[in-house]
Amino acid sequence: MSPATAIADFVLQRMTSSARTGKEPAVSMKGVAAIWELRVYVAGQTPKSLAALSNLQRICDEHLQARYELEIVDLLQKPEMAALEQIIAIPTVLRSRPLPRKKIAGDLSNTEEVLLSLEIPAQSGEAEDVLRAISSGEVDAFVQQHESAGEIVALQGTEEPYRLLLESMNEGALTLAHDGTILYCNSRFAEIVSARSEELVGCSFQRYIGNEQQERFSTLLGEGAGGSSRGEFTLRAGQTGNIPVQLSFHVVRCAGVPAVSLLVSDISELKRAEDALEQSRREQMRIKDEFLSHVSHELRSPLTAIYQFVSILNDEIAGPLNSDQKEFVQITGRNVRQLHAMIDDLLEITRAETGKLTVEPQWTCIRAAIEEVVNSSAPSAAEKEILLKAELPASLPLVYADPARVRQILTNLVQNAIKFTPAHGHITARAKAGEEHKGFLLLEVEDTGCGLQPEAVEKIFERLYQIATPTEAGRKGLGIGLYICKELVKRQGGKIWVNSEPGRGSCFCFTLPTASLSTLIAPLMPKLRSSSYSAALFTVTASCEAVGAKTSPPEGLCHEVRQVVQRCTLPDLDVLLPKTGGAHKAGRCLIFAVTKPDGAPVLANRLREQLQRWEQNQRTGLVFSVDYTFLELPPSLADADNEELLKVVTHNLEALARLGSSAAEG
Amino acid sequence: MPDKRILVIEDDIDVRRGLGIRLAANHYGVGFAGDASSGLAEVERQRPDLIILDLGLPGEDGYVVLSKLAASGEFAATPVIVLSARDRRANEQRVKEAGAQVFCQKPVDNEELLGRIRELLSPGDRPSRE
Repeated sequence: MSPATAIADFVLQRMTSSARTGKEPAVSMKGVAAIWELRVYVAGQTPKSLAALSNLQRICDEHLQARYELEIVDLLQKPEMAALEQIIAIPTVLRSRPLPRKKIAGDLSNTEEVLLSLEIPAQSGEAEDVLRAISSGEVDAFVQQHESAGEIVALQGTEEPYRLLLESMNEGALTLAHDGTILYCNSRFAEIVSARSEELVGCSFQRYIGNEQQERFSTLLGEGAGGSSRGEFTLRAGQTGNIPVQLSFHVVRCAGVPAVSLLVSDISELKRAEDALEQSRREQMRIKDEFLSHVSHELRSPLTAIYQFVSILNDEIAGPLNSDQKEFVQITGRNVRQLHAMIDDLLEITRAETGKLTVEPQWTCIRAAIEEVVNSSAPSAAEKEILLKAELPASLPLVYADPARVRQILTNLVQNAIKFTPAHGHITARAKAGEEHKGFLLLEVEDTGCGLQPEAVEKIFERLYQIATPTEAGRKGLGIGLYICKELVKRQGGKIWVNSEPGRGSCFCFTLPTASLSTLIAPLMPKLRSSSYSAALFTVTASCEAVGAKTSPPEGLCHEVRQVVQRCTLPDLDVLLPKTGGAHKAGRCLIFAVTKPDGAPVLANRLREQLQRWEQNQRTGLVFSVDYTFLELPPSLADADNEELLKVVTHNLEALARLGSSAAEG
Repeated sequence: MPDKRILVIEDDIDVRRGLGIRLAANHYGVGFAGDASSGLAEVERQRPDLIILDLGLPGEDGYVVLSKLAASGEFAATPVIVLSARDRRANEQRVKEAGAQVFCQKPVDNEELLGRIRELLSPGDRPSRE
């Protein structure tokens, strides 16, 4: 241990013990109220200088009690200063700024002189000397006492090689108090933040952390004070701009008091390399996607020819087949369909990954989609003697979704279910609107198949996921169908998940956003604004001739009316079918239409005709009446903003819908 | 009533032949062309009732055929089914704007294709546009 270290130890011990006893510091010196920070340069270990230090220590203890902090600077490494033999020690006051600059030089074994020098504080610019001294490895101890807590932090006993190491390393190295105050920093850190090190000591490290990262920094600093932690941050470093850094915090204990050592690694280069790597990865992905897309398209042409000739054989256009030939051609056909589906999936996945997987949502009746998928999948279910059915409530809200994409999702789920369900099993496709998923329609495809392991339940929607133990059934497929489903559901604002247990079947569920009146009306706003359009509410009432008006509503009345309305194509007509539950139960269907003023009576007539024709075909025994009212919209609509307009129209419609349904019930 | 005539403009000879057999089996008269310019020449010569058109042709592509048909006046009303391996989402709207009635994605289901042909060739049953 060097003599200077021994002295620092001595001072530390003294100060620590006085801090621990909690002795209330009393300031006896005139004009001094703050904490004193003293710095002592030790020039050689002569008996004289040791005596001077001891004298200084005694005086400080007597006059400043615990209210001072002491640094001892070894000048052995600084010959130009050591050469000034008359300088034994230069006490300075760092804290109370701004203060007049005054340097006292002389033999500090003279008590009067020490007292004088303590009384006349020097300028804060002196901090520069300390840091320079630290930087050049001249310091053995750095002691600081905080006013409130009597905390002492020391950079103590570091041998010169380590100090030099600290200064020459490529990382910023700091010692922070528990609140983030910089107690020490090396020159590399100063360089990173383009500041002078002497400006940094005593500052809060947090000044370099952006507001949005402050909380995370505090957390990590706290964790660092308890052990260690690390994290990436962006340092706001004045002119240099923002610098990405890795901060590593470690607890250090100095004389029993915890502080935090902080290593700051500039990771700009790393980030640049990462960015370049990411860019080249993207480029490669793009090339891969282009290739996949090209290949998939190219595969379609030969597949077209194969399909055509297989179907020509199968349909016996080229002549009759014996039963074996017929069977083999059918097997070929089934595999062609599978290949076709795989090529489609390959294309979809490249689209999903390049963000080109588009959905075109519109107000959609989900009933048709489910029925269509169940019908088109029926033959492959029948091949395995699986009972495939749809369970749909009489009334379903419209959803805002892409009908083609919904069919695609449902087809995928149903085909999967067929694949993993043994012969004579059941598959049910359902749709239900419930409280549980407010604002969404829940669609389910449930099977009585082999079910899924918990691990698979979690990962089954991941790209390229394949069930770990491929069964005979699971052998085929690319492992991207469900990933595509997830991407498609996500892009339509819904969620997808699966409930399943091994051996107990699976239930794949997804949600799609349902139509609310205000979202339905929103697209019509520009037309409502114009005076050449008017809004009308149509009421279609169904009553049964034989039994009287109070009959149960025809199944899917609104669906039928919707179809009818769609056939009544009129120019400049926008139609909405907000079929509220109440209105439907009463055998009523409300239609909101925005037309040219003379369009409403035309639409009403057309509706009557079409419904009559529908009834003639269906023979349900229903009589339809069609009425309409023009909606009174405030004259100031032209000035109203969209939100206001929407409110007015929605309010009107809801009131009318309530009137309509209560009138029918009463 | 004589058979309706369909012109198939398609460069893949196997696809062309397969389509020909299928169409003939459904009692359509079938003519062929393998690229855009001979396709247009065949339109003039054969005066088909309907055209099945591939997009990816050697030299000028199917879009050129569509624009020349639209500009011809005489054949602008001849219904066109585009049958292509190209992406539906990127092309369906575009071919319709260029004058085709239907976009079919290769490989097209026979029933779908024949259904579309029937719809286009019997305008009386088509949903009226008023």
